[in-house]
Amino acid sequence: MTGRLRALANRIAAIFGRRDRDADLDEELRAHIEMAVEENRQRGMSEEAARRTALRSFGGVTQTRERFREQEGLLWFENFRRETAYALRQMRKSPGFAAVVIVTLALGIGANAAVFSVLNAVMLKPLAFRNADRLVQVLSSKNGTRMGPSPPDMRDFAAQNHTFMKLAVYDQWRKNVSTLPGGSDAEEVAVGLAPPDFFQSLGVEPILGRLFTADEGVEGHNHVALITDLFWQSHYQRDPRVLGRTITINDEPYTIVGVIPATIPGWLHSLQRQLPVFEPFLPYPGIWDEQSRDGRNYGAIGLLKPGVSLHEAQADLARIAGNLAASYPVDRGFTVALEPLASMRSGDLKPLLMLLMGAVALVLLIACANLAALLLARNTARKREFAMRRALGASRSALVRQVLAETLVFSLAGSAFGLAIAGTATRTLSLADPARLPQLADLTLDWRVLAFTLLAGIGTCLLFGIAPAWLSTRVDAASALKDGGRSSSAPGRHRFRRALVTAQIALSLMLLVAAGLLLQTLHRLQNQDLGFRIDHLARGHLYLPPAQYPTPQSITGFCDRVTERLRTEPGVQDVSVTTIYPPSDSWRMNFSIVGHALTRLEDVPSTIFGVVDANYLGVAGIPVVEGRDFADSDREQTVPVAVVNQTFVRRYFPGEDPIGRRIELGAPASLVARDVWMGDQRVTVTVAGVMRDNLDQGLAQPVAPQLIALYRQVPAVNFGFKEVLVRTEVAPDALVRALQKQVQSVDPRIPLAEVEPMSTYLGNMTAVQRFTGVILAGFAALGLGLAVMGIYGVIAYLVAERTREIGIRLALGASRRAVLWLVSQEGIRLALAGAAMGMIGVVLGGRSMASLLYRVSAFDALTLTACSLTLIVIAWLACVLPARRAAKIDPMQALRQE
Amino acid sequence: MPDEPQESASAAIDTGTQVLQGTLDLMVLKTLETMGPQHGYGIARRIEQISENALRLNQGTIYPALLRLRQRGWIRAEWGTSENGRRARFYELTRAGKAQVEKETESWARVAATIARFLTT
Repeated sequence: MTGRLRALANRIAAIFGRRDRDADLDEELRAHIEMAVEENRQRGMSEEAARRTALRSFGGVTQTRERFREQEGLLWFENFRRETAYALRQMRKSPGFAAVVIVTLALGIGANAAVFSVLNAVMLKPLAFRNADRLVQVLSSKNGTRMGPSPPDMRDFAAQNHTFMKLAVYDQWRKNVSTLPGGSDAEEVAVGLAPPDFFQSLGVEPILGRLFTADEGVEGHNHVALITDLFWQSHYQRDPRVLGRTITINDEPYTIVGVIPATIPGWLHSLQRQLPVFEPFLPYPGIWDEQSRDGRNYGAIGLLKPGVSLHEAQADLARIAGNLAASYPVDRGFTVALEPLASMRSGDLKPLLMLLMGAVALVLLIACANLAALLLARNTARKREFAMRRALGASRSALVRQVLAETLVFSLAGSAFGLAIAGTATRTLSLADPARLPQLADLTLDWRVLAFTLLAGIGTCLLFGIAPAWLSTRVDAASALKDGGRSSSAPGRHRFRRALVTAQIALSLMLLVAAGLLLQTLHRLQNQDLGFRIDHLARGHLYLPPAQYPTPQSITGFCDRVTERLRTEPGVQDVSVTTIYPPSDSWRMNFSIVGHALTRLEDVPSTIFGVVDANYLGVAGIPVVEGRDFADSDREQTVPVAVVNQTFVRRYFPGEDPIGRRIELGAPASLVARDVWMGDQRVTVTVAGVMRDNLDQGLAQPVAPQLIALYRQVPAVNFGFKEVLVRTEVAPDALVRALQKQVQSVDPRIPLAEVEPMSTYLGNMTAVQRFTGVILAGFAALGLGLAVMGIYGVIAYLVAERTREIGIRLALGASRRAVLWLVSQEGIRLALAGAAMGMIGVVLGGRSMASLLYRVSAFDALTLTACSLTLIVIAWLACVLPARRAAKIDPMQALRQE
Repeated sequence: MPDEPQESASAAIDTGTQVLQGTLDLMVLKTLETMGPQHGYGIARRIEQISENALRLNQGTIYPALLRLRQRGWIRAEWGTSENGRRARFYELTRAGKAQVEKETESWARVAATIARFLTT
């Protein structure tokens, strides 16, 4: 074996210094022949005979040289080097052609590389954590619906498993944070709540200080904080004495015990930006008590033990979940699901990214078809050169190799420029970040992108190079040389070009349909009736920390004062302090209808819930269709009232009048002592009115039953988290600063955060789809443009070929219109064939797109028809120019031409 | 002289020499072991003689073989003067080459013995 390796090394080394060794060999061979001649002469032959015999015994000198050279170096490399040099010379001779090919390739490959690098950052790159392959996300699942688990469940998983090294539950809350004493720089910031296991699972080590300890997760000991590198920079200027300083969170002092690197990504917390501050995991004192077992939707990650598979761990936790379901009624029906942490990063983006990747690949294919046609046309003109080489003994495969080498040079050049284009595009993308994706922060051209680009280059070379190379080297030497280079139309070539164009049209149709469907989805998502008035509406968020507002009454008092103060602001029509507004409300409340007794916990229904003030429905512009709206007369001492939506009535009071019906909030006390939201209190509300349905489960989900009550009447759920809605008379963004100042004047320590027009807020929800839709439309247009070029090329070629025939027809009396029709016919036929093939492609691929569409079918007849017709019309238009040129042919000139 | 290799011609030679490549190498090594340092012509003539002209190889095929053996480090080459005062390249076995000869001789003997056993049963 070492012999072989040494041989290979020698051969690689032999690439250099060839000329000297050639001379050596020649000398050696000469010496051999002379010695043979000498021996033969000694035997008595004449000089002539001696030499003849010697040469005959030797065999072919040239062949020996060839064998020697083959043995010596890497033959294919030598050939490749020679062919590449030749290719470069050819390129320099026709720079225009080379430029067109390289630019087309650069754009096509660059676009692919750009999309791939996004795909890479979101889906393929290993997570930037130590042991990333052993990190998993833990989810609770019931009837197929997945959500985060509850802390008591996670504690039991952690205690009873044998497949995990660490399990950690975590959360994030928006809190008012200030670093200066006096709190004058209070800003609302997302604060992470995480136990030490969270950081240890991710392999995060403190830059300064330490992480939390286990006993700091306990009431009374949890006022410690970790800040990230970036926060340290922006708020403390990297002061090394930051440890031990106080940071105020929700008006309570916390001691900074450590600084961690800013490596924990925002998507772990479903947020766009990284969390700057962390405190120990203790959302509220009773978080680990039994009554919190039903409080789910917390974040949960785990670090598997080395060598343990996801499957094993899943089975292990499922076993524990089974035990929990048997022991605790609230866990009945729940099981566990594990996902690799990386899938949390890609989330909903995966289908969109795959769609874009597919689309951009189609564009490249269409471009390759154009290039193949171009290449074919150009190489057809080189027939004489090929014929001569064949005549001199070159084999056909040698010629094909030569043409492929030229194609490869183009492809590699195109790849290099394409990579540059992709680099610029991705840098612009991560700076502009139109879709607000936290995953894009990590957009780099790493080795995967480079490998992809290289493969794309080689792939395109083979794709658009092989067929033209094969076809154009099919030369009959004699006739080609006689012909003087003028090519008679080889039927094979023409058929190939037409096949190319048909394929281009088919792919274009697929792109058009995909873009059309996605844009329609976008339109429907954005323009659907959400059920409330969006114009002239501003939203904001505030949080009243328990330290300053310990009682529900104090909270209500603050909200009343804020409402009053904001109403005085000029330009403000009305104000509502609420906890919810469309389109997504995720607060669910268990309830029971008075008069319908329930015996099992599993039967207790839950509804989308929210607490509001009396102005909510008016400010949001949600009409009341039955009964009455909330009124100022509904106060703490009067009967608690509720408003339900139409879906609630349909589901729970079918065919009955809901007004006056009484509903108890919280799971029945007979079944569960402490409800997750209501605690041990229960409040019975009376349905006072029915509001019109509005979206309450996000933009793309149907309306679910919803019930809203007044927070002043249900103090158990009157928390410090409040949303503020302001109906304005002027443009909402003009009032942002003014609104913030007014709230500050009520209490300077409470900032009004995230103030923006409602339209902006909603717009952000569809940002990703909008961006994808635009890009896809761009690709479809590009593909169509390329296909048009292809059609034009084929038809123009056809006209040029048949000039003589057309001239004869015209001379024999055919009308110009007949000629026009003759030429257009060809184009329309191609377009129809292409559209038919494209339809097949659409039908085959349609199902995979279904998950991305909203209220529009993947096989929507209108879209398919419209796109097909557009395509056929455009294809026909592409024929017009060559057709008109054909009609203008002067028959005399045409006949004289050959 | 055309630059490109004659594909069809070399294909024919290839199938022939592939079979004999290994044995030719062994014969060259053995020759050098017996004769000591020798030039290419000498090796070729000796092989012709020993095989009593049964093997009709073109003498030229010895040169790629010699290169192969050099690449594997089993022989080394040096320029010297031949019997009739001509400048020629002389080859001699290296220590690794000597070991290789012994190894291959042994394995040939084993093969021959096995075949013999088959043929005599």
